[in-house]
Amino acid sequence: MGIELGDRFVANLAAVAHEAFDEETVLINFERGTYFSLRGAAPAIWTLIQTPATVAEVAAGLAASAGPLPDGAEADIAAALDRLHQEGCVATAGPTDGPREAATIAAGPYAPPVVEAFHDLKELITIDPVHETHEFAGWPVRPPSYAVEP
Amino acid sequence: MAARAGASGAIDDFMDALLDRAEALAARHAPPADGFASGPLAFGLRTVGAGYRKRLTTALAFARNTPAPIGLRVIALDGAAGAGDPPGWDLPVTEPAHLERLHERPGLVGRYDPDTRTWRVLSRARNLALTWTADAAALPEWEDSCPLRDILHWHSAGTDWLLLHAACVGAGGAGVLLTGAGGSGKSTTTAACVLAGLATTGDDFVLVRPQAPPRAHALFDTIKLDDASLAALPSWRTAVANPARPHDQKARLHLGQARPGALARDGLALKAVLLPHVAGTARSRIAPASPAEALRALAPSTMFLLRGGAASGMAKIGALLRTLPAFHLALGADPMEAAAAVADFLERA
Repeated sequence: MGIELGDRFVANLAAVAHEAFDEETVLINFERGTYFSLRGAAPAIWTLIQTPATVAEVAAGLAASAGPLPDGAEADIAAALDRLHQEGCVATAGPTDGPREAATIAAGPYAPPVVEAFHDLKELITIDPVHETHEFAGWPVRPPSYAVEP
Repeated sequence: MAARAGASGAIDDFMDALLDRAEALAARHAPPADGFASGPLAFGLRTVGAGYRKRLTTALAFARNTPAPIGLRVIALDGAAGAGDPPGWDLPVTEPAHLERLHERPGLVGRYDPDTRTWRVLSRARNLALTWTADAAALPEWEDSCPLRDILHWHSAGTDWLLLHAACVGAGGAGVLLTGAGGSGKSTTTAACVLAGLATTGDDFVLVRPQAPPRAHALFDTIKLDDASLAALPSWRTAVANPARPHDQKARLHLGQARPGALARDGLALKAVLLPHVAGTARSRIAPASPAEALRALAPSTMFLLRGGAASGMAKIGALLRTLPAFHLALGADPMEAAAAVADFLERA
């Protein structure tokens, strides 16, 4: 797994737009040209990481609404966060500095989180980081002059 | 104006200076403004370069409004027609969006296309925009179908309407959006619906006010068809505006010239969102879809094709889909049969 369980995770709102309907939240990563359907417990997880939270804190937030979670729920939550992290939708906010009170949300009975990814429109994004950063001589770069000629 | 601080401020200053320079060039070289108005949108366009002016205005001609309305001012400069070359993106790269040569602030948006050497900039504070290209004759043919779309999209971010990547057809003042990725059948269905007597506000990008009651207006008068769709709808062949197009480009129809009565000039009151896909069955079928399915069909392609303003665009699309019911439209093999299915749906909507 690419994440540390002690880390806090937070929605990467600099790159992701989101909209929630009854039982599904749709994420659009407009930097990568990907989009996602979150179902089951995943919409509630997304809500709980609008402010930085650990896996345990997310689980506690779910349990506060849905009641005791089944065995394996924390592993499911960690896997969903790992997937969203790999897809650039979630950022890590560094290691925890101590437990925080679980956020409260309105969620129904627990169902394993589902993160369905769609990559069919990636070609619409014209960015090509390798090509672009080569042209710009690295990332970031500050050229010597950017004035408009009169 | 005092220089703004930091790398971002330097880019802001650069874009403002581009606008200053464009205003000076237009004052010296451009003829009086062409005016356009459609639904909530009104703008004037001053163009340096007769060829560029024709390419920018053909798809907008149906909305011509004289004199130029008070609203957004757009300046278009063709470097090859006397405006000189635009500067390149010789700017600090300090944000991921800068890798797309896109710079976005609440009151200022700009983007540079290195392939065509074209700048597009909008200042909401000045209600002023520019498109400055090195050689308008070198712009890709498809740009004639949706001129100024980036600028008009950015302009919409400060309003209660938005541009959507969708088609819209209707009858009796009521309409439905057709939304889906390329190849889903939007354009072919729109072209067939027009032949069947329905009205349209466009086959690719439409202006939409999402708040209840939602409404769509035309922005461009174009329909684009590939060779297979032209073969299925041969009566459009005589209306093709680009018969000598490159082999990889679609045929372009301008309804303002070919079928002016088909453009719903007062817009269409939206009743539903249809999500077409090519099923190839004997008969088309319409079945309920969820709002989230409609969002997945509508929002990603809109936001990936129209860069900038992602958060406000998503919220507007969400508001629209909380108002309108959504349906899957499984398109049968015959486009005219599919058009009849849409017309029947509209009668019952």
